[in-house]
This record gives sequence, structure tokens and C-alpha cells, in this order.
Amino acid sequence: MLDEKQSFLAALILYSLASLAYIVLFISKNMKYSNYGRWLVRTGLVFHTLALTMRTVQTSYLPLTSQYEFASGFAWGISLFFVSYEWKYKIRTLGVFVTPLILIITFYAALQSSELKPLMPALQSKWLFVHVSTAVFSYGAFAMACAVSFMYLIRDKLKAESFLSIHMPELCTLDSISYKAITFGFFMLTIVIVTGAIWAERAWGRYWQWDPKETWSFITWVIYAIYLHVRLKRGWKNKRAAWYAIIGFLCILFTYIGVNTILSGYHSYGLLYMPIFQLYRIIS
Amino acid sequence: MKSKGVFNKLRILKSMKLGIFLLSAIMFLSVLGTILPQGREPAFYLKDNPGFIARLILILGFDHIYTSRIFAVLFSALAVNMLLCNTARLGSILNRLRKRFDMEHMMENVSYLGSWFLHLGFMLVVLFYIYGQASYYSQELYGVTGEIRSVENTDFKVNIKDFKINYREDGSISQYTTKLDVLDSNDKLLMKGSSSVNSPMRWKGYSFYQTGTGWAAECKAYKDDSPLEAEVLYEGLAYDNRQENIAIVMTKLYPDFAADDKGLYSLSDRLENPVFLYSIYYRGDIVRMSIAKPGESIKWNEYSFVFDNPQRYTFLKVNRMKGQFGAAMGGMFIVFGLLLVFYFKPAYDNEHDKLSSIWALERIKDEKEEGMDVR
Repeated sequence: MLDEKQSFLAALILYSLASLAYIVLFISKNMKYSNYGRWLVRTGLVFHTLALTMRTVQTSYLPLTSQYEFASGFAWGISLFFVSYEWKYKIRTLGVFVTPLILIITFYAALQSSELKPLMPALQSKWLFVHVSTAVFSYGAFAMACAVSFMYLIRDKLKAESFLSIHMPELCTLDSISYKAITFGFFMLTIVIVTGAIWAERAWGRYWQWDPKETWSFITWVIYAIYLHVRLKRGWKNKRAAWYAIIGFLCILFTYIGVNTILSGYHSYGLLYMPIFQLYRIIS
Repeated sequence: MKSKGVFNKLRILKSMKLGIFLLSAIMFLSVLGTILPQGREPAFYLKDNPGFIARLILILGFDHIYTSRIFAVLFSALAVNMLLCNTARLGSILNRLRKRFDMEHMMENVSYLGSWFLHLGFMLVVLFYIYGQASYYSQELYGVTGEIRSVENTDFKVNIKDFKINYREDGSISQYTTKLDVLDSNDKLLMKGSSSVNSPMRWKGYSFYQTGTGWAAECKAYKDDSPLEAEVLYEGLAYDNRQENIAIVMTKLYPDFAADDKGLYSLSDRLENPVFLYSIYYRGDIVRMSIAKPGESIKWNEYSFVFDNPQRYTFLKVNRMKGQFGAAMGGMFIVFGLLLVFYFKPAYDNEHDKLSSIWALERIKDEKEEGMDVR
């Protein structure tokens, strides 16, 4: 029987092999590698779920409180969305664009300390667990929207008779999938922010303090809110929407990794402020 | 014609374009607020930035962006934009509901309200947040068990009845809990309760948050063996006798003291072998820095000091933020609105409606007004 660390490692190896399979598919133009890739991700997801379950049993709480745990949860969320979208929409080339994301986030998790630490009092809140677990689904959905939007842009550039084009859905289908993923991610992100505010009020006495993490969550929310408005009311679709979805996900990544490592605040692990006007000095 | 022109100009106030512009401006300032250090002294900005940028930061209030006038104006304008937009849309939504409101289509029809609820929710959050910020009260409070502390700018006091730290088997801290009595100015009991991390005590709009702890000890001062004063001293603070020009700082308490060639440290967080690190100041100059055990007499010339009875003190925050209920309702409306917009789609009457629920209707209406071909 594998333990938590071994299960996580197995998931990491399977995700790596899946990425490799999709790269081979890309190079060899042989669709049988898509089947390998799909099954490798599915098996990886099983091991990943096993690792998270074992950690939950060990800690007696949802393992989403440290950098390692959240990164692992984030990668799990993307894998889950990949498996379900791939199954629902039958996009056999989806893995070419999604597995690198899964792999990068899983590697990022692997680089963090996985040491089990007792939960500090401020983190003992049911609101925190709703807050962070919804973030896993929100971020997972936005990652999927980003990957599908990237697919859109590639498909848009490729000739109609090219290998990838043939095996990619129509542009309007990709656009629609990206939109659906964003609506789900946005709904979840709203719950993330609302539950985070409730938790902050109970723990620190203010539901909104403009802490960098809060602020960047708000910025991300506004970015996607603008996306939804211009799409639904002004008919912004296709290429522009695809670029917007990618920029939105870059903001998600900054909210998650950039804020923790560069900016300081209640959520952060770093203590440095970005020297904004150093750039000015360099220029001048 | 003139009145129509004015009307058209006013229409911009409820337009989505303005809403998006305001959201973008708020977003830009928010980004700036996370990059630019906030709440520092003016000298900090003058030292670290070129002159005109530093002046710009200070004039525009970018040293405290989130409480600056510009930020408040932008948020208020956004609230007005949403209020006008929502008011203008309510009529068309209700008309539509009236036309097709039957039990069979109830959920579908209700979904037309989704976007309206969403905007109403956001508006409520903004308005109640501004109200909460304007009426915000916060006060820090600390003390050891048995101390009665008055809370500034209020007519009540707090009696710290007990402070307890719960440890797990592995020695880590699982919870901090303070038992409190709220007293009026005549020491009459108004409320009894306890506050722990993530579970504040609430009383008449005030919330008592358990935010921290530290070490305290009794400090007795003597001159030529005659007692001068005795008081509870908190870690990092000083007993300061201005008449005698002498002060002693309880720099640090090591609860489980140990020392090696790398310095002084504590083996654990428990009071196993307490030792105080202190500094004595005379006429503003440091004259001695050393360590002492509880009860040990620290002599310097005719003065002597004794630190005793080391114990944990509790650190609380007393807050009052009005409008929290309104903001919470706003949050609920946003989530409810999103649920309706995205997951309870109406049965579509025509192709245009497929774009979305009420947004599509608005778009068609706008396009008609602008004389565009909606088909």
C-alpha cells in the first residue's frame, strides 16, 4: 500500500508521462498517443485523490492550508476539470494544452515543504475550508478556460487541413467551452471571496482589509466581471475573449503565487514589497 | 431637443461603459496599492522616489490608497451607476415577468432577476462597506488575569477574568481563550463571555477578538530599600520613574531559559525556567543590560528592582463595524444572482435571448435605440 508521499509521487510521474504522450502526439501526429495521455492523466488523478485523501485522514482536516497542500489541490482541480471536459466534449487534443499546466503546478507543489504541521488557531475555521476548497474549483475552471482559449488561438492560426485543426473542435465550440468554464470559475470565485470575508471577520475583526491577497482576488474578480459584461452585452467573443481568458488566468497565477512570494499580508509567506520605482530609476 | 440632449447625457451615468470604466479605475488603483507600500511616513516616499512622484503620491493620497478620497469617490460613483442602472432596468424586467408569469415557468422567469440581484448585491456591498469604514471603531486591549481595563471612547470597561492557552499533545498551541466580563462605569456586570481565535465575543455591536498574547510580570522598584512603585510590566515595555530619572525595560522573558555560545533562547513555551532580560536606563542612557530570575533583586546604585510572578497576558481587539449585515446581504444577493444568471436560464423566445438572460434584452434595447439592425 502506498503512503501519501508515494501516491503524490506516482501522480507526478503519471502526469509527466501524460505530458510526454501529448508531446509525442504533437510531433508524431498519431492520435493513439492521445489515448495514452488521457488514461495516464486519469490514473494520475486517482493517485492524486488518494494522496489528498490520505493527507486528510492524517491531519483530520482538509489539506488546503499550506503552500504544498493548496498547490497540490490546485493541480488536482485542473486534472479533475480536464478529465470531465475531455470526457464531456470528446476533445482528444485538449491534453496537449492542459497537461503542461497540471505538471507545472504539481511540480511547484513538489518543491514546497510537505511537512505536516499542527493547524494554528487562526486556521481552525470551517469558513476557511469552504473558502479554500471553492478556490480549488474556481482556479481549476479558470485554468481550463485558459487552456481552451489557447487552443482557440492556435486553431485560429492553423490551416483548416492541418493535423491539429482536424482534431480540434470548431472555433465556436472552443469559445463556448471557455465561456462555460469562466462562468463556473467566476461563480466559485465569488463564493471564495464571500467566505473569505466571513472568515476574516471572525478571525481578525474586519471582513475586508485590502490585504494583497484579498486585493488581487478582487482584481481577478473584476477582470472576469468585465469579461462577462463585454461578452454578454457587447458581444465580445472569439479571439478577444480568448486573449482575455488567458490574461485572467495569469492574474489568477499572480494572486496565488506572486502575492505569496512577492507581496506581504495576512496570507503571504514573503515579506518584501515590490520595489515599484526601481524600474523608474533604471530607466532614468 | 435640449431636454433630450440633457437626458442623453444623463444616460451615461447608468451606462455599462461608465461602470466598466469605474471598475477598471478601481482595479488600477488596487494594483497600485499592492505594489506601493501603504501607510508609511511621508519621509519614506520622499526618500525612495523621485521628487515629483513622491509629491504626486502624497497629494493624491496614494500612501493610503484604500482610504483615499479618489478611491472613495470611484466606489461611490460605481454605487450610483449601479443604482441608476438597476432602477432603469427594473421596469423592463417586471414587464417581462408580468407577461409570462405562470407556475410552469416560475423558475425560468425568476432567473430574469438574476442580473438585477447581482448588481443590487454589489451595490449593497459597496455602500455598506463605505458606511462601515466611516463608522469603524477599533481599540486594542491587553492585560493579565484580574485586571480591569477601560475601553477608550466607550462607556464600558472589561474585566479579564481568565486567560488560557490550550496545548495539544505535541506541545503546539490549539487555542487561546480569554474569559471576559463587560462592566459599566460603576462596575456593574453587563455581560459575561469568552473570546477565542475565530470565535469572538459579541456585545451590542462590539466584537472582542482574541488576537495575541505575550509575557508580563510584576515589577517592584525600590530606592534605598524603600518601595517606590509596583506595577505590571509587559514584555518590551518599561517602568519609567521620571522624578528619579530611572527606567527599567523588561526586554524579554525566556520562559524556559537556556544559553550557549550562540546566545540566549527558550527551550519551550512553558514556564519551566523563567529568566528576564532587562535594561536599566539612567538619565536616558543605558547603564546596564543583564538577566535575572523571578524574585531576584536587581541592584544599581541606590535603586533596586524585582521582577516576579511571570504570566501570560492576553491581547484583544475591540471592534465595531456598522453595516456588516447589509454587506452580508449584498454578498448573498451576488451569489444568488449569479446562480440565477448562469444556472437557471429562461426558455428563449428568440435567437437574441440565447446570448444570455437579461443582458441580452438590454443589448437589444440599446442597439434599437442606437438605430442598429438587431436582426
